Order: sequence, then structure tokens, then C-alpha cells
Amino acid sequence: MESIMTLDRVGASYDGKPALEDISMEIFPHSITAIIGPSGCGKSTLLRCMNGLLKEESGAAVSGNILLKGQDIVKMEPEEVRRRVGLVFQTPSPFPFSIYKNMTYALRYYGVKDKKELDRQVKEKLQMAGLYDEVAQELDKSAHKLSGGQQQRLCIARALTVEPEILLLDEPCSALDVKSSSVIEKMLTQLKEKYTIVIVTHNIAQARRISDHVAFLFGGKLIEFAPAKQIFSQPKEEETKAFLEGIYG
Amino acid sequence: MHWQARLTKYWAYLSMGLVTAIILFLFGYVFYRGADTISWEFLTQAPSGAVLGEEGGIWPAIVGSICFTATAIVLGSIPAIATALYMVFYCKNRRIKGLIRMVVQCISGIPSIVLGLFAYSFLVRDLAWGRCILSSGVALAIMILPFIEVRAEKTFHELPPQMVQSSYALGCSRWYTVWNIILPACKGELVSGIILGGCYAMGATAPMIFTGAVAYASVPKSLMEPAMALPMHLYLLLAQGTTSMDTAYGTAFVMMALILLSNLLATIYARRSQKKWKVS
Repeated sequence: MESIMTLDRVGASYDGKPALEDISMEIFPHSITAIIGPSGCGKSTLLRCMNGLLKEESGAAVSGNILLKGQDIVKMEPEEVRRRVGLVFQTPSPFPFSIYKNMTYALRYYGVKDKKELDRQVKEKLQMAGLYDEVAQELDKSAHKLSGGQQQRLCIARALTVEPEILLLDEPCSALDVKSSSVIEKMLTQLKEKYTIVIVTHNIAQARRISDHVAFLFGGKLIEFAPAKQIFSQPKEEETKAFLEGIYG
Repeated sequence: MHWQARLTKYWAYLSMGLVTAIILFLFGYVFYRGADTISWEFLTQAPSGAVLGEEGGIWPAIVGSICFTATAIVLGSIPAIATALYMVFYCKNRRIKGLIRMVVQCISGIPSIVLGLFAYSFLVRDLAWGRCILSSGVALAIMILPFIEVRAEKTFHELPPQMVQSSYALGCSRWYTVWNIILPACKGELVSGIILGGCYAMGATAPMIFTGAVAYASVPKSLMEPAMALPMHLYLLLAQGTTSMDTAYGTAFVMMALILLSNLLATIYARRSQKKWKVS
């Protein structure tokens, strides 16, 4: 299978202090890749490299090559990279507008003005995120009045409005209860039909349930990258084994 | 309780009581002394009489003060907010940031009479704008720029970073994010900072003594005319000695009422829009 994104010896540092070193891996289309590892191992940093958002932070530097469909993202317009590689944050962060306005925020930026088209997109993406039935009657309600789980699904739906090729999720369930988490997990497995998903999680059980490929990061280095089945049944590296057995986390 | 803790507590209570008492006394005294002078005529007529302020009112000074303040607000807040936006969302070079911060601090350290001198020699004389509202407005704008900039920068810093990054993550440009997320979300705090800056400008006398405020003028019709201003009027009345003490207190009454009212409006506005934009 041909990869949609290739990371080639990617490194990152904050103020000269290395956070990631020599990461080479591939992201395969229509699959869920889980990035796991203990806290502070660079999972979120790696995710932010993938859509170029890390460069926005002062003091941060990225090295190595990241290719999106063979094209170096450094040579692309940053806005273009971020449109094609969406990112959803750990804590739900809806804009302080109505649900409808949250959903049309980016569409308006890209020049979609037609009301019918906007309505259609809002409905379609909310349905994909499994939120439409819950909020169909109250699209004008402030997004902050939704529950945490609903807010996070709104953020995912909002990220889908720009039709990203890859959707990055940074521990999307860590602030949510078990039920909301399982709703999101189910939704993600459906979304991979259409999109490519990369999810950072420190919940090993979650990675086991939904992922097709797993990357295990430890101390800023990629220890092991393999199909999920293999990594969970026969991890090659000692560190991976220890992490999966819960020795550190 | 430990005696140190107890002492600190009493000290805090005492200071709070003292500060409140001073403020209440100050406002009470001015309002008490000025209240008798306040009348419809005083508020709506021009000063008249052989000695300034002996008869008539302060209407041109009220309008003049509002004009000076509005000019200062327009000229000062736009660069102040733009600077704050640049500092928080655009500039990534720490040295440049440090330099800008230092410049802003230096501006806030300039004595206001020096700003008056600068505006007088450069705008009034060299550029030949003459003594007018605009000349004073520029001096006042420079004076309140750091005041507004510091508040705006703080407000921008307090915005949840993920809200801004979410917009970037959708591929939206910084410019779009500034106009559609950042400025609307900070509107209340920004407006309140601008109004407080305006109050500061309204009370300042030194920058306009030589540049635009005059002892007597009718209600101004353009920015290129000199005008009366409340603090300047108050200064002149006081300088005349006991003859115009009552009008001086009346003028002070009006000025403090205006400032108090603006402060109140700023607070209410900031609180209301904060509630609306409250981020959970």
C-alpha cells in the first residue's frame, strides 16, 4: 500500500532542546494510525509537525522531511498544509459562536457563500461526526452549551468541513467520559472509509480497539512502528513490551 | 492564628479601608463643593463675565474635552492594538519583542509636559498645524498608547491558545483569525481598555497647554481649531484665585462625573461581553 504521508528523519526542538529525534514512519491512507507512548515522549509534538503548526510556536524548530503525497510540506503554503492535514485538540475548543457558525467558519473563509451549500455541508459533516441528530433542532445554540463529548464531536465535524486528507487527533478523548469516548471511537472507525486518521493516545486499550498501525514513541524517539496486530501480540522491542505491560506510562 | 498572618490581615484591612475612605472623601468633597454650581445654564452655556468663569457655563469646555479625548482615542488605540496583535500573534523573534516592549515602556515613561513640548515644537510650529485639537490629540494619543497596548496585549495573552490554533488548524490565515476570532473575543476588554485610556487623556492638562487648549473658544467645528478643555479650564480658574473657586469645583464635578461614568460603562461593557464570550 502506498503511503499518503512520509516522515523522513524528522526532528523537533524547543529553544534548542530536542523533543523529537530521527523519526521515520509512514501514514497509510484510509487507516487509523495510533501514536502511543508515556507522557512527555513527544507524541503531541510529532502531531504538530505533521501539519506545520509547530512552526507557529516561538522557539520551536523542525528538521527532516515530511512529504504529503510526495510533496515536501515545507515548500507548500502553511495554510494549504493545514487545510489538507486537519488537527483536533485534546480539550474541545469550539469557537464561542453558535453550532452553525462554528461549522461554517472555515467554509466562509474558503469563499462558500451559498446558503444552501453551507446548510448541506453543515448537515453532512455533523452527520459524519454523529452529532446531527442531537443538535438538528438547535443549530443556533451556542456551541459552549453542548456537553464535552458533543463539543469534541463538533470540533471533529468542524475539522471535516475543509475536506482534509488526513485528520490528526491529539488525545481527543482524554477529557471525556467513557461513554463519550466510545461514541467517538465508533465514529472514527467509520470516518476512516473516507479520511486518513492519526490519533495520539495514551490509552493503550483505545489504540488496541481502533488502530490499524501503531507507532510507539519513547523519549522523543520512535521505538517501534508496526501494524497494530503485530505490535500488540508480538512487540519486538523491550521498551514497547514494558510500556504495553504497564510498567511505565 | 500566627501573629504574622494576623498582622498581614489587619494591614490589608486597614489599607483597604484607608484607600476606600480617601477615594470616597475626595469624590464626596468635590461633588459637595461643586454641586451648588451645577445648573442647566452652567452645563449648556459658554463662559462669560469680566473675569473668566465668573458667569456663564462650561459647555464649550465639555465639548472640547470630548473632542480632544475622541481624537486621542482614535489616534492612540489603532496603533496600540495593532502593536499588541503583532507582539502576541505575529512576532516570533524574542529580541524584536523585547525591543518593542522596551520602546512601549519608554513611551509610558515620558513626562506628559515633554509630550506637550514635542507636539508644540514639531506639530504646532514645524508642521504649522497651529494650536488645534489635532496637535493636542497626537500628544495625548502618544501618552495613552502604552496604556492601551499593555492592556490589549494582556487580553490577547489570556485568550485560550487552542481557540486561535483551531482556526489556524483549519487552514485559515492569521488575518482572518484576527478579525473573526481574536478581535470579537477580546472586544469587551479592548473597548474597556480604550475607554480607560480615554479617561486618562481627558484628565491630562500638560500635553495640551501649548498645543490646542485655550482659555476661551466657542464650540469647535473642526479638528484644526483650538478648543477649551475641562482640565485646562479648571487650571485657569484655580490660577485666578478665590474669585472663581465655585466654578472651579463645578468644573471638577463635571469632569469627575464624566470620568466616573465612562469607567462604569467600560466595566459594564467588559463584563457583559465577557459573559457572552465566556469559554468553558
